[in-house]
Amino acid sequence: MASSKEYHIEVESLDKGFLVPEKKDRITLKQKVSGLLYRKWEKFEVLKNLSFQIEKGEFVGYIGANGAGKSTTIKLLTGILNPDSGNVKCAGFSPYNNRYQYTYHIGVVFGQKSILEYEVPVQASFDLYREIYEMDRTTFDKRIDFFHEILSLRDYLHIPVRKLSFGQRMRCEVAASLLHQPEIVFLDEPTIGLDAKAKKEIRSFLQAVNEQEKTTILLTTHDMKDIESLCNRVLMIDKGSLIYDGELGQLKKQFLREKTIRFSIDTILDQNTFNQLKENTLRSTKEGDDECWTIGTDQCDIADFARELLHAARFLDFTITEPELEEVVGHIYAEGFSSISENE
Amino acid sequence: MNSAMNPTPMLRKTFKLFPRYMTLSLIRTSEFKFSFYSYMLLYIVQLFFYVFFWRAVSPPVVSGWTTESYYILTGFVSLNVALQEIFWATGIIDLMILRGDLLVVLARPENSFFGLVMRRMGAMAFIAAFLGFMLIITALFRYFDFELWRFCCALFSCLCGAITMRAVLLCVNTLSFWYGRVTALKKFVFGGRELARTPLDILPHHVASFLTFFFPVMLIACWPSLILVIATPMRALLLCFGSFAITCLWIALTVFLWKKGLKRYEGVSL
Repeated sequence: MASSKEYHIEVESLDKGFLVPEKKDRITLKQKVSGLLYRKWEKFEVLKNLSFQIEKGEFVGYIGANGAGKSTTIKLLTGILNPDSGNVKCAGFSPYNNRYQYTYHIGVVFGQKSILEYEVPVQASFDLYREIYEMDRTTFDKRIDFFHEILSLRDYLHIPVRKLSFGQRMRCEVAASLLHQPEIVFLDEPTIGLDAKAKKEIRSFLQAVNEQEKTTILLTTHDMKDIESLCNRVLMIDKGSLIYDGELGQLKKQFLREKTIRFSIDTILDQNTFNQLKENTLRSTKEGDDECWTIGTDQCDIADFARELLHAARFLDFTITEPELEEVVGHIYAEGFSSISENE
Repeated sequence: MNSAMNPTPMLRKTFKLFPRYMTLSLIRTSEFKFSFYSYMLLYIVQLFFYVFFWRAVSPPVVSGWTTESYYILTGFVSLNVALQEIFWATGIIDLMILRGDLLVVLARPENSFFGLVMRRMGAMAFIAAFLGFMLIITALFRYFDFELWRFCCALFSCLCGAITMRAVLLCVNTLSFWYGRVTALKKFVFGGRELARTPLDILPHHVASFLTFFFPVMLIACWPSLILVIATPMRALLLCFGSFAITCLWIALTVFLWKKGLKRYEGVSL
C-alpha cells in the first residue's frame, strides 16, 4: 500500500553495535598475559531503535555530541555498514543490499577523509569520477561550469591535490561528491577546520544545489552556524537514540529560554521601576560601565520588559542578545535532553 | 544524465576503469621524476644481477634444468613479480582497511577491492614486466626452439601465478577484518615468494605439492619455465590447465573471505 508521503530516506528501528574489549577497572599481570591468548569482548550499542524519515529535497541537520552515533548512521545510510536490525531505505534502495546500484544515486563527503587522489591534479580525479559514475562529457563540462560559478573551481583544477590549501581541497572534495548530480548527499562535517570565507562559500554552494536540484541533504556537523544557515529541520541524537526531530526554530524556542539585555545608563528616570525590573531578572552582572541583565523569557515578555526599562531610564547604549545556538546545543549535550525538558 | 538507471555490470565496469586508473598511475609517477628514473634503474639492475648470478654459479643440470633454462626462470620471476607489483596495493589492504580508505570506495559504484587496489596501481612496473619479457624472448631464441603454443601457455601460466600470489596475499590481508594487523603473515608470504628464484620441482614430491596448492609459488616461474622449455607437450598442457585451476580456487577463496570480511566491517572513526 502506498504511504501518504513519499520519503526519500526512511530509517526504521535501526540498531547497530560494535564489539569492544570488556571494560576492567584494574588488569592484573595474569590477565594481561592471558589477554594475549584470549580476550573477552562486549557489545557496545551505538544506535538504538533509531527511526526517522526525510522527504525529497529536505536539508536536514543531524547533530549530536561526539560518539552519539552520527557517523555510524551515515555509514549505514551509505551502505558501508550493515545494521544489526532494522530497515533503511534510501531513494528506493536498501543501501547495504544494493550497494553498487545505490551508490550511483548518492554523494558522500567525509570531512576528514579525502576522496580525491592526493598526488595528481584535481582534474584527473574528476575524470576518474566521470568514468566511475558513467557521465557523458557534455554533462560533465556543464557540471564543472556550474561548480566554477560558486566555488571558482577552474582556478585550481590543474593543481595536484597535495599542493592545494585545505580550503581549496575541501571545495574540490564537495564538488567531486556532487559531480554526478546525486539525489541524496551525506555530508559528514564538510566545513571542519575551514576559515570563515571557505565555510561561507561551501554553504552557498550546498544551498544552491539543494534549491536548484532539489537534492536531499543530510548534514552532520558540530558547527551550529552551518545548521542555522542551511537546515530547516534538525535531528538530534544522543547515545544512539533520536532525542529531537523538528524545526530549528522550534528547538530554539524550546530551549532558548533566556535573553540578555546589555546597557549603559545615562540617567535613571524612575528608580523604583528600575529596581523592580532588576529584581525580576534571573541574574544581573556589571561589566565595566555596562550592566548585563539576564531575563527568563517564560517568566516575562522580553518586549514588555524592554519597553518598561526604556521608560525607567535614559541609555547611552542598549542591546538585547540571545545565547548562541552552539551554547544551547552544548548545554543539551552536557545535561541531556530529557533532564532539561523536565526541569523546564 | 548518467547511467544511474542502467548501470554497467560491476565486472565490465572494473575492466572499463582499468585504463583510467593506469593513466592516473602514470600521471602520479611522472609527478616525481627522480622516482621515475630510479625505478627504471632498479628494474634493470635487478634483472642483470639475477642473470649474472646464475652465470657465475653455473648450477648443475638437475631434472632437465640447465644454465640456459635458469635465464628463462629468471625472466619469468621478473615478469611475474612485475605483474604483481602493478597491484602492489594488495599488500597494504590491511592498512587501508584500518585507516578507513575502504569507506571511500564503498561509497561509490565500483568493486570495493579493485577500487582500493587500482587507486594505488603501480603502472611503472609494466617496464619491469617488459624487461622480464624481453629476457625470456632473448633466451628462448638464443638457446631453445620457439613454439608459439608453448610460449602462450607459459605466459598464461605466469599470469595465473601473478594473480594467485596476489590472491594469497589478499586472503592474508582480508584476515584484517577479523584480526586487525596481519603484518607478520604478509612478511611470510613476501619471504616465501623468493623461493620462486630456484627450480622448485627438484624438491621432494610432498614439498612440491605444498608449494603448488597451499603456497603456490610454483606458479610464479617454475611452471611457466617447465611449460616453455622442459616439459613434454602433454605435461605442458596439464601444467597450463593446472595453473588456471589453482588460480580459480584461490580467487574463489579470496572472494569468499572478502565478502565475509565486508559483512563484519565496522568502519573506523574519522
